[in-house]
Amino acid sequence: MSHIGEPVKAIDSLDVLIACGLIAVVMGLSAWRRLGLAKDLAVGTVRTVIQLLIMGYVILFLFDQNRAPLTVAIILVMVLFAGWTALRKCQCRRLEVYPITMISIFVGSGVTLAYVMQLVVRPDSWSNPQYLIPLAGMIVGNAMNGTALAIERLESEVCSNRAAIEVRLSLGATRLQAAAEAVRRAVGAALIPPINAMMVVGLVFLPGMMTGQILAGTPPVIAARYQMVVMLMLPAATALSVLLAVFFFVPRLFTPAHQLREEIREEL
Amino acid sequence: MFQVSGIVFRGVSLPAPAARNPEGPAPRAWILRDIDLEIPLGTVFTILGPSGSGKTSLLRLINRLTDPQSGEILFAGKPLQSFEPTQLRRRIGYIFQVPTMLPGTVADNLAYGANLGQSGRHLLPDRAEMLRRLRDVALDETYLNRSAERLSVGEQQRVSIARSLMTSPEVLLMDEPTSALDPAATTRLLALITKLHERHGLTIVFVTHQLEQARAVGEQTAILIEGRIVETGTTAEVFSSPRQPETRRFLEGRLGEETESEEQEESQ
Repeated sequence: MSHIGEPVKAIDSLDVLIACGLIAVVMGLSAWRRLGLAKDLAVGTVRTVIQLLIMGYVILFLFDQNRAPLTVAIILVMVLFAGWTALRKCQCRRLEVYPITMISIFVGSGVTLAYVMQLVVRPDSWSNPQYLIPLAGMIVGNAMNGTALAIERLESEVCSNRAAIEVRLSLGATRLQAAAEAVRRAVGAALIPPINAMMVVGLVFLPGMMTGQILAGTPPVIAARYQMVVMLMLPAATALSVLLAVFFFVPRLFTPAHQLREEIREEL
Repeated sequence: MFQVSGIVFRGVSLPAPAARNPEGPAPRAWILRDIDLEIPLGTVFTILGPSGSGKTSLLRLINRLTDPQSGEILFAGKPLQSFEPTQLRRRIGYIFQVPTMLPGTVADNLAYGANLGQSGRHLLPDRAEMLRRLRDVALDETYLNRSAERLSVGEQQRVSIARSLMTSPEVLLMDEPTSALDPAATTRLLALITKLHERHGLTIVFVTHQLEQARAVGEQTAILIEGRIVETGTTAEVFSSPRQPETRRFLEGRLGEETESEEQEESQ
């Protein structure tokens, strides 16, 4: 009498509506304690429902079509959004740095995705959307978070350490040498979340993908193996994207003549 | 055409950065305006002027921590732009107003500049050379393994001079190097500067707003007021028989009356 392999019980729109009751509770708390979160909660709920609804249909459509160019196009759209979102907290001119984050996330995610698809999962078709889309979603999302952290941290490290950086420059360091320590800290900060996740996964939390697979009836050991692959690919995708982004971003803080840019020097 | 050696400014202008020019009645648009100046090699050359006159900015131009907007600066007969900036800065050392120690020991600080040339490898620094440079600034070998950040400001300033000497510069730019020091440490540092010049034939460009210091160390003096060189000559001449009324007023301490409001320029 095993429950393993039982197909997942479908939930319908009414069930989702009932789930919204949970948010209603939070909104009630917010109103009571005057937390001022009602609006964000409402917007967040609506966006969640609409975005996931659309995504559900998009993936359904992709599965139906099963055409490689279409699947790849969807992943590219993800990358375009990720590059932009990564700069949400950046002090810099967003449009100018966008190519850096976008291309870094594209390359970092692309290499990792290719590795996992071709060497680890090896589905019958390299473009099978059933594998490609979920893996890409996780990889791009993590690469985006890492890149955002790294850019933000690099900016603040260079600003707050500009005296030491100018000392290094004045001793003959190139801009990359002068920024090496700031780069190290920024990359470190960006890699802490996926590394921490590797430490506590399965102990403190059950990751969403594994949970989902188990819900869908996958044998837990297979689900666990998939989760291992995911946990291992995320630091790789993050590290690749972050290193590229930082490498391209450093020259934006300095001039080609290895000088700190005026905006950085003047920043108080 | 006469032969120019040394450091030559021709019509050099530097605008105030946009960030420092908030709307306000008649913002000062220029930090340095039409600077013509000749600093001969092998001298101790003082640039004397009140706070906010542009002394730091002028000094930063010489090792290209900043570039002017217009005009030309020559070093050894060639425009600064024709040198690789990292190489130029090894030949023209810079001592900042407030010493900043790099992380680690005094030895780490001394080794930094020397190691830069070595293709990024962290080689064992030449201990004999480090000791020689420490002796140049009147520190003994017990300092080598001490934490640089824990030294007194006076000691840090001497370490920063030794650190610059490690790249064997021909010129040393000093931006009010005594401003953070107490009177005893100031006296010692000034004596040390004179000795460095005599022992190594080092060209020293010394920036100060203190008349006594200019008189004590400088063979030649240029007076910088509100971004313009108003007078240059041997220190004795400038002090005993100034040609310009502005110089005279500055030397008599009467200049402050109308320029006191522009103090913020030197603070970095």
